[in-house]
Amino acid sequence: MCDLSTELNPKITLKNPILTASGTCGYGIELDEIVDIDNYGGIITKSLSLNPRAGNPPQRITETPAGMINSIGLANIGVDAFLEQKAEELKNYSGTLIINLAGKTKQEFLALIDKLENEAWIDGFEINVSCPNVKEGGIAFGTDPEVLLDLTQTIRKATGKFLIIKLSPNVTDIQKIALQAQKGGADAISLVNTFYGAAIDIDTRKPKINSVIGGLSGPAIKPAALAKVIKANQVVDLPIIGIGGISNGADVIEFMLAGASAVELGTVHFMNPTVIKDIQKFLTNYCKNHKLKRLSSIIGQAKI
Amino acid sequence: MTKNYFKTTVQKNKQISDNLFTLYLKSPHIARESKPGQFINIYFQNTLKIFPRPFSISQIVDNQILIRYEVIGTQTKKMSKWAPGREIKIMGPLGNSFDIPSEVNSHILVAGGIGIAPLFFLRDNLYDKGENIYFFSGAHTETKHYIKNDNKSKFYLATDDGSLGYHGNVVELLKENISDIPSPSIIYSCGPEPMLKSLKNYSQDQNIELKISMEKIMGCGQGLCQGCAIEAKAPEQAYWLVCKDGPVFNSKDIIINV
Repeated sequence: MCDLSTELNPKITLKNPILTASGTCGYGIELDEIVDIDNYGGIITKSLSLNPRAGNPPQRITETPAGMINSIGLANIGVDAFLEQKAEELKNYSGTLIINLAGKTKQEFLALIDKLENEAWIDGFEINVSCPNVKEGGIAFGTDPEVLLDLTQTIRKATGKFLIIKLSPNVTDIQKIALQAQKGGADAISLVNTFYGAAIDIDTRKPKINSVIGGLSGPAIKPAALAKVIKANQVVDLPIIGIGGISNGADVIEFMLAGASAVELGTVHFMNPTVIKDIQKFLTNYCKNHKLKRLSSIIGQAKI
Repeated sequence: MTKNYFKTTVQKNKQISDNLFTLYLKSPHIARESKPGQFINIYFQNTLKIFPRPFSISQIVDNQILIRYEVIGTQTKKMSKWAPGREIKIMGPLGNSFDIPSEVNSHILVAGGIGIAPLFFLRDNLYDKGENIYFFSGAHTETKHYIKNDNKSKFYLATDDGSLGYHGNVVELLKENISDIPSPSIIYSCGPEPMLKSLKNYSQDQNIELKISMEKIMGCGQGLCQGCAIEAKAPEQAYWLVCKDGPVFNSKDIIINV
């Protein structure tokens, strides 16, 4: 039997390398109506903000070849309602639970952490500095190396929990940004968030989503995301969590070979809601066929 | 707990006219659990077009669900080729349903084109309760109509081109006949947004309650991705999600932008 577990740091070992990507699986528990969430190594919740956010006006999503563009605008119930309504159920979750945080300002990030830091059932935070769909905060934090360094350092001082910085692919040099996250004291980096994308209706001549430009995700971005992971892996020592169009077990292996210690599944849930079951089977078979005792032994082992 | 995502088998895929089909799927679970207005997601195992497609549950016959669909794009084109015995994956039942008030004398159903799909299920339910049903069905032309008459309701038919029944749109047909319908009444509708908007204005003028089944491009169908938002007209609520808060809304609670 192959060991699928993956150690991110001495505090966090995932029972398998598969996490949910923020924004595609609600707060995790909702997914339970479709598939047992215990199948995942961990859950990353949708972005939480200090105050509830109604999100962007419609149209918010559109299908594109092998992918989709979204402009949801971080619609969420806010941290207080989250603690009131979701905490009880999430406390029973046996896997690793990471809360994704979206702040408009540095102060908002700190206020969010202040409300969540003492909740023992939360294992870590993923910091969203890469949302392309909000005016304030979001990607503005993730594209300027100095701003990102300052934010990471500030958050690091405020939390003892596992800290992931989620990076945007919409930068010229992902290595520079990844290094800043490492320098700032992050425990891991996750990449990539969505690429900028747009689509126009040729009959009405109107953009297919209200914000004109949104975030592109799905199988279409997989090679581009993999390239970013390879680049980041060349310069950082931190564990990398790979994200971007991962749709099956082979994709998971590819990202792990490129240097990812774990991966997040997002858009694939729309195509195949029980994909986690298929991936588990694939990973176990892969281990058997390649005579691996531990799947994690392949991390970064692409012959590059 | 029964998970809501599973394999089902095509029993029949009946062509009604050039582009209209009725798909029969075996699903005792959905047949038992679903209510009029609810929908299912159909999955296409396709990495080029990644979204599942939502379809109203059009009718329940024994342990089968009927999906009435019009061939519009590549996915419905594929569906039209599905033969009996084919296995497909579906999720459901999803969304809310039409509430049926007990204090009305007449139930008015107004369908625009393929928007007729969810109204068959509602009609059956009302018929079983012994209610008075007035069923208005409008479409562009004769071949876009699923049925030409109906023995479970008082049935009215309109075509935009005059090829069958009343020559004109279905809202106008309703206006011409409203005086024959005992009040108080309620209207249930599904169809293209311009039709829904004109029906909404009319129902407000007449002070008749209107329940609308809305359609929107969806990602997950379960309220997780928040993609299918429409504008709300409600206190402290900017948007509704069609998949979870709907697809059925009181017309007073939504804004129809066309």
